[in-house]
Amino acid sequence: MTTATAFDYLLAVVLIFLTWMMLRSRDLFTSIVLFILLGMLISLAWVELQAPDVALVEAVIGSALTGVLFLGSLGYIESGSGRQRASDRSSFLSRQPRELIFTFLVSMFGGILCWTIFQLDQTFTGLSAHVAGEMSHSGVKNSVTAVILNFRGYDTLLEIGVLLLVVFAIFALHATQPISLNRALPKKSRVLAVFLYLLTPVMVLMAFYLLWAGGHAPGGAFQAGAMLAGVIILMLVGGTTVDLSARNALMRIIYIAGFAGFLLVGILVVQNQRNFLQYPVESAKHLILAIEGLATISIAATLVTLFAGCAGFLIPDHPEDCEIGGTST
Amino acid sequence: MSLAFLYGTTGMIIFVLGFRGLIVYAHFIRKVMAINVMGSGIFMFLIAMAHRTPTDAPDPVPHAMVLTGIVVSVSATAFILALIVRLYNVTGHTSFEEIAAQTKEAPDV
Repeated sequence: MTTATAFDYLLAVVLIFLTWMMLRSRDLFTSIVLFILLGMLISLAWVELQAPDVALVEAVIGSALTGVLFLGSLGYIESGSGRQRASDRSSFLSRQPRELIFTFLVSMFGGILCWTIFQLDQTFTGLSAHVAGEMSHSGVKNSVTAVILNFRGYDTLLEIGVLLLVVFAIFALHATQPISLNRALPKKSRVLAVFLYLLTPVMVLMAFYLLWAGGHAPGGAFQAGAMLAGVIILMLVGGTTVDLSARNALMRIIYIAGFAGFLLVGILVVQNQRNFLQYPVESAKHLILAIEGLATISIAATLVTLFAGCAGFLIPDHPEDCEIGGTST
Repeated sequence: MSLAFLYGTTGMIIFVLGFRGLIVYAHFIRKVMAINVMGSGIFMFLIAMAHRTPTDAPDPVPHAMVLTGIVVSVSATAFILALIVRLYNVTGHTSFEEIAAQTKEAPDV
């Protein structure tokens, strides 16, 4: 139990104000920039709440990568036509009386939710005592990593499965081809080239540090994978061509490695006394590191593919090559 | 006010603002952004509630749940955006209103 300081009140007000500004702003590009900013400030709030692991993931995936996905989609849509901005904000509810009534109803709903929060207990131990008691069996020193990869291994296995599923879905939506951003960026930026030259090694090193650090400090496979994905997306923007298509055998292995490795380890540890995903205490640390290493590479490849799918880079230039959809554009 | 209740309330207000945005604004990308904001509000509520422990260390289980949640929400966002881009590629529209207006003009389309 900590009492909020003036900084916390200020941050809370800024967060609410930014959310409001972001959703209201007339220009979608401004909205997305505010969305990224909002994510960064939310991760600051999570540092205040002593959740550094969550803050890292929010900063890297929730804010930066999601923002890049939005920018990619917006870029594709706006490159198609300039008339989008006109219909940006109107919907059947945006006419004055309806919008006011709806806003009033929603504020009532918000009031009820806030009132409910204040009915909750002031202190609540939750499961932290159980986690603290079992930490010595987990093989790692960071309690969040222990929960993610050991105590609640099922969740994380299925989470990596979700990522794999989205890759399948995106390949099902778009005909696949090698990805290059060259057509989006006719002029290569020299500033970006130098920036990449200097920054790529540092970012790759940082990614592997985050992976290793996950055992005892904030960090882990998702943070590391997102970092690597960031490097690859920057390289794509810098003009590199990467063959991400599912026809590429190496890419298939990379996409599936994280999920398959996790599943395999989970099955291999099954013995007379142990269940699925119940690691032996003495080798837990190495098994977790192996799973996280494979997962990092899969997550990086997956996130880059998600970006390519959202930014329309997987859509071929000639729609008639594509089996699904019409040619009514 | 304790940190947990300050940020819990903030999270709920952000959730409600996102819900309003989801209904009021028409553009698909803005709707997806609103859904993401609703998610952030709920995550903030969970993390805030994990901070109510009497000891210094907060409850790590909600933290792990939120980590999973963030990754799942980015996956879902990517999938919706890919669908939006594909829909735009095929029809040239970015909101239900545009599609409805076109259907009204030419009902056979």
